[in-house]
Amino acid sequence: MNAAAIAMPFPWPGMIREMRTSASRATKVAAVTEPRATQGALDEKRLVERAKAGDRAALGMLLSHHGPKLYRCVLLPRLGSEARARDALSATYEKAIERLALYDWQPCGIYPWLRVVAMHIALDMIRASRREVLFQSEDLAREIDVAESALQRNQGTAHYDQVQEQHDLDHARRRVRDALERINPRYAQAIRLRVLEERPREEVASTMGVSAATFDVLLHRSLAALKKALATDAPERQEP
Amino acid sequence: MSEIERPTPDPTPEEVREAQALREALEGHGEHELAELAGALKFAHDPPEIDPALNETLVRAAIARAHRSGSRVVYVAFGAATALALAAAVALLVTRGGVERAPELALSRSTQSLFDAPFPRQGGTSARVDRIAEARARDYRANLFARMGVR
Repeated sequence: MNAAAIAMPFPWPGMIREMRTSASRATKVAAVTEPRATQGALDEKRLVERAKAGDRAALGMLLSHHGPKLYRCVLLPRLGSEARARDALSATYEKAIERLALYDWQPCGIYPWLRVVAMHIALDMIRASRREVLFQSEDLAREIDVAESALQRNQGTAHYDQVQEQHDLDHARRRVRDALERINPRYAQAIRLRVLEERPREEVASTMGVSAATFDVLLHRSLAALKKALATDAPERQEP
Repeated sequence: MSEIERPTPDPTPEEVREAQALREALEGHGEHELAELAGALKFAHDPPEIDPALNETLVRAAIARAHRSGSRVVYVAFGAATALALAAAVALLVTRGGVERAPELALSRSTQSLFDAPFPRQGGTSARVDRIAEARARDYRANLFARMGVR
C-alpha cells in the first residue's frame, strides 16, 4: 500500500494537470509512439493495482481519466441526453468501484472493461425508457456481447481504447446518417442543416426556399417523421 | 406515391402551434418532445466533452458513496488511513509520556475585547453574534487540543 498516496488529499495538486496531459496525449493518436503507449499501459497497470489495493487516489485518477471518454463516446450518443448520460456515468463509476476487485489486468488496459460496464448501465436505462433513441436495446445488447467476447479473448493492444473511442464516435454518426436516410430527403436536409450543423433558422429557411415560419412547420414535420421511423425499430417499447 | 412527391398539406393551427413550441424549445425556451429527439441526434453526431469539474464531482461522489456502502476497494484505503492515524496518535501519546504540565486554557471573559467601536442603533446583531460565536469556538478548540496535549 502506498502510504503517501493515502495521506494525499484527493485530487492531489498535480493530479488534474497529470490527467489533462494524459488526456491530451490520448487525443493525439497519430503522434503516439509504441514505446510511449507501452509506458502508458505500464502506468495504468500500476494504477489499477493500486486502486485494487484500496488506493483512492489511484482509483480516482483512473475514473477521472477514462470517464470523459465513456461519457462522450459511449453514454451520450446512446442515451441522447446530457442529464441521462451524467446519471449513467455516475452509475458506471459506482459499478466499476464495486466490481473492480473482479477485474483482471489485460494489455488493452482497463478502458474496454469500463466501456462494458458503461454499456450495461446504458442498456438498463434504455430498457427502462419509453423514448425514441437512435440505439435500440437489442443493438446495444449485441454490442455488449461483442465487447465482452473481446474482453474474454483478451484482445486489444495498448492503443485499443483510442481505436475503440473512434469506433464508437463513427458508429454513432453512422446511426444518425442511417436514420436520416429513412425519411424524406427534404426532411433530412432540414434536420441536417438546422440540428446537426446548427445553422441559424433564417439561413436554413432561405437555403430551403421557404419563409422562416414555414420552415418551423417543415422542421416539425421532419422530426416527427424521424420519430415515427425510429419507433418502428423499437417493438419492445410499445405499450405493455 | 412517395412522401416527397405528395403535395405538401397546409399546416393545421395545431401543427403551427406545435412547430412554434418546437422552435422555442430548440432555442432553449421551454420543452418539446421533438426537441429532445433533436438533441439526441446532435449528441450522437457530435457529442460534447463533459465538463472536467463535473466529472471530478461525479468521481468524488462515487468514491464517497462506495466508502459509505462499505465497498471493499475503498474500505481498504480508509482502513489503512485509519490505522495510520491511530499509529500517529499512539506515537504522539508515547513521546509525550511523563510530561505532566497542566495545559494553559482560555478562560471565561467579557466579549468587549472583540469590539472596538460602539454598536450602531440598528443592525449588525447577526454579525456581532457570529463574531462572538467564532471567537468562542476558537477558544473551545484550543482548550480541547490543549487538554489532549496537541499544540
